[in-house]
Amino acid sequence: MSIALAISVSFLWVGVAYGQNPDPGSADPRIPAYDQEEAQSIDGMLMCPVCPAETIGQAQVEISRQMRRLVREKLSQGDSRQEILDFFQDRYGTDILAAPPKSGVNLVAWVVPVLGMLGALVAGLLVIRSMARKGAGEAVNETAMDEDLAPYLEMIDRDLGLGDAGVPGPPGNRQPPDNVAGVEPVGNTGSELATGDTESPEQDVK
Amino acid sequence: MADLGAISLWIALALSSYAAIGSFLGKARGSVELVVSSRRAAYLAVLVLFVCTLSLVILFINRDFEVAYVARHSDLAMADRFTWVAFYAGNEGSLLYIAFALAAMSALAIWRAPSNTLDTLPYTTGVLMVVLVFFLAVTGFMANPFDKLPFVPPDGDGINPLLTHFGMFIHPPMLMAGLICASMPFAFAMGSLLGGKTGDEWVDAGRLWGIIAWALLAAGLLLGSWWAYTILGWGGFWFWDPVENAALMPWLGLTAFIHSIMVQKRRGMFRMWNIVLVNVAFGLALYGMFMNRGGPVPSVHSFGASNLGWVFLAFLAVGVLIPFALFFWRFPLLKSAQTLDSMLSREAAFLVNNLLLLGIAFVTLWGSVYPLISRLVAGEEITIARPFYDQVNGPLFLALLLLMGVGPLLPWRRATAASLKRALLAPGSVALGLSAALLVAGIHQPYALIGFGLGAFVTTGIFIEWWRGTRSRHRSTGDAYPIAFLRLLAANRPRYGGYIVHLSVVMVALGVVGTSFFNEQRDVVLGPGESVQINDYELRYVGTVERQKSNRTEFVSTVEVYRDGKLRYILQPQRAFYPSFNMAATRAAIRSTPVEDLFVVPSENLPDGSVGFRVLVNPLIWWMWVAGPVMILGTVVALWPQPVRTTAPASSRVARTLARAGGSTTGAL
Repeated sequence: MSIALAISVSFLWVGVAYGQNPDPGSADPRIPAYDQEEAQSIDGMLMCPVCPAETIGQAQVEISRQMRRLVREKLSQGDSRQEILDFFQDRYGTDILAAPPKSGVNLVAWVVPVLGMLGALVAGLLVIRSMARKGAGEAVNETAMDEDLAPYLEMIDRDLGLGDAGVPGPPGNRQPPDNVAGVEPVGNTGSELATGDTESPEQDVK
Repeated sequence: MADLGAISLWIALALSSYAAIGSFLGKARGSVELVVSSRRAAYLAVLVLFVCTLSLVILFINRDFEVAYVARHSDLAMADRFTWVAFYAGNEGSLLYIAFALAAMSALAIWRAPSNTLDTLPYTTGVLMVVLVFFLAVTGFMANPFDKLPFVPPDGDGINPLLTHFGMFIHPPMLMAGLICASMPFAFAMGSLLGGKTGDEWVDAGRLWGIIAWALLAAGLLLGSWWAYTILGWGGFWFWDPVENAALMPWLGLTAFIHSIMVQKRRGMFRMWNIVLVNVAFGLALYGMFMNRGGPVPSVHSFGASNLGWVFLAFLAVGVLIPFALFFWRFPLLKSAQTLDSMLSREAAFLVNNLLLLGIAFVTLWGSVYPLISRLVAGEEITIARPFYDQVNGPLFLALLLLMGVGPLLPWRRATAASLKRALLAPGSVALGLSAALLVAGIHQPYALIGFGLGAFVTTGIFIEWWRGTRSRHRSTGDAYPIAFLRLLAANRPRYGGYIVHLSVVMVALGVVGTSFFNEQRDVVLGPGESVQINDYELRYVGTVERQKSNRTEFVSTVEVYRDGKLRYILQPQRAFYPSFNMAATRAAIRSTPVEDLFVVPSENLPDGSVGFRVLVNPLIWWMWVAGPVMILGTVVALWPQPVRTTAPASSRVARTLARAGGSTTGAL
């Protein structure tokens, strides 16, 4: 547990160091106050019109500098993020936006991956479940635990500080039970151990 | 020298064609001689391609500008060490490099093939040689690096300044080698299918080469990020550029594959699925090379527009369709030896992991392709860039991180509710406790909280298991703790190597979460003597020195960094202008610590001596770059051969040698 504590403390320390997000303020003296983080976030949503695949937040060319300045001027005039994006979209076309708007025909771009992912997950879970059902039916005759392994399993579970020895499932059936000495790799459950986690070398078929 | 190179290129093409045809024909006709001579041709092709590669290197070193490729990618001012980079600065050289890497890896794979694949090895050889023939033919006919100019220019065009960076010495060759290495597991799988094997024979070779390809790609991606971070001058490391995506997708496919292949290795399951995965990974790797070399999408990587696109596209189509046709032909052979016992098992976790990885790959592919669809179908010009991927892939990556914590804690076959609870209790409570503590400490971004929580979850799970294993070993053998730990790792390398790799992924996640949610940025124009405040740093701009170099003008700015009113260090970011490319390249000054990076880059030099700076504080990004070596360490541990522990038949080695010498007699006849 001391490890866990150390880990969480170090993560926590990092977190505290960045907990406070400071000031919005003006960095460019030529423009009155605006929200700097908002400006940088808008920079990441507009493409540089002349450079390949870079946003104005990244590109180092004059036009992207001008666009950055324009974004800041508009922010300081009180324009909202959406108004600024609309302004650039009207002027340069939809492809100035780094991601298409979530409306109209462009919704397809957003909906397809989400639906596809959900569909795949549902299908995957159904497949797993049906495989598992079939497996549960067929596995009945396999579940008898290898008698020889019981003492080892108990010993290991004792070492691991797990109370109830022998609970875990049956050993895998591809493993010969010859490598269950106490010095074998220690997994987190008995069945892991019982199988040994390593493959014994393939028998030569020749 | 150019002639030697060109001739050896054609010889290599002839040899690989012979090896491809001979392997298939020899196997089909049962001709051992033909199979053996094809294999020798494949070995010989490596030698010939080595000569070919060497000639191009010598042409570069001599600055033989009569050769068009040399004239285009080097000049007299270029330092000799950049020959290495200039070699693959354009399509011609990189194709030659890819062919050479493929030939060398194929020879190695054929030579060291595990004995249980010897029977189908001619098919594997044939498949590899077909891929090699493709690359050599494209190089020879369409992008020959040895083509000559009708005149000899006095000087070359010079090397692209963005490439003159240490990262460029390793990033492109790693990535290209990784992409082409995806052919190896693919070829073993195809060999097994063609030979009508039931499916488990190719697993060891497939896993080995799959992991090698995976590690090469991972290292290439990390190095590329590092290059972008230090030289592109905007302070980020990944921006979902189409070519980055093209390299990421095969990596995702391979990640899925190297997990899923373990299930087949252990349990004889997922045979069809692994064939599908290895096909997908190979297809994505081809797509990656297609995007990289003559791709249709604009990108910072498009160093040379070319007409190679359609050839690659055609090969991509063939490389995807034929394997799937084969797969359906051999479908009945690929029945699982085992069934899934429970939804709460490592096997099931691996399946979900595969779905997520393929999902991310699909989203990425969709994002690359949809603008094209939109233009053709809806007539709407749109861009899909970083905000899209961040929003769609972000949650998927978090889910993957969760699974990375849960999967290794689940046993094979079946977990009981009790054992699951026991395994998840400690890591889960650490993760929740940490997130709660961070919330109290003032972090409110949900993604960041979840990200840190999951990072702690994975890390705790791994450390607890290491701790328990070490303690148990210490008790049973009396080894001192450090020795017990090392022996624990050594006793099960694939598993614990994998854990080390998982830790490196957590490190990458730390860097990503840190920079995505907690970075600070200032874009300022400073005159000499002026200063800017960022977090608790104060940066004072002192002045800029201009240096004339033969091919560029360098502007070196000096910036003093104060913290708590005291001068801590001096940074010297640079910006160089290359007149011949009409291009500026920057070199950021970075002060890196595990907590945060202070990053200063000049973005413009104004005539009055003032400089536009971008100043960033990037928390935790240090961990990303450390993750690279850790990941490689983990991979090496995982791949290090296990000592032979059982009484493996002494005859196996003899049988191997015999089988190799005599070709695959049993299969052939």
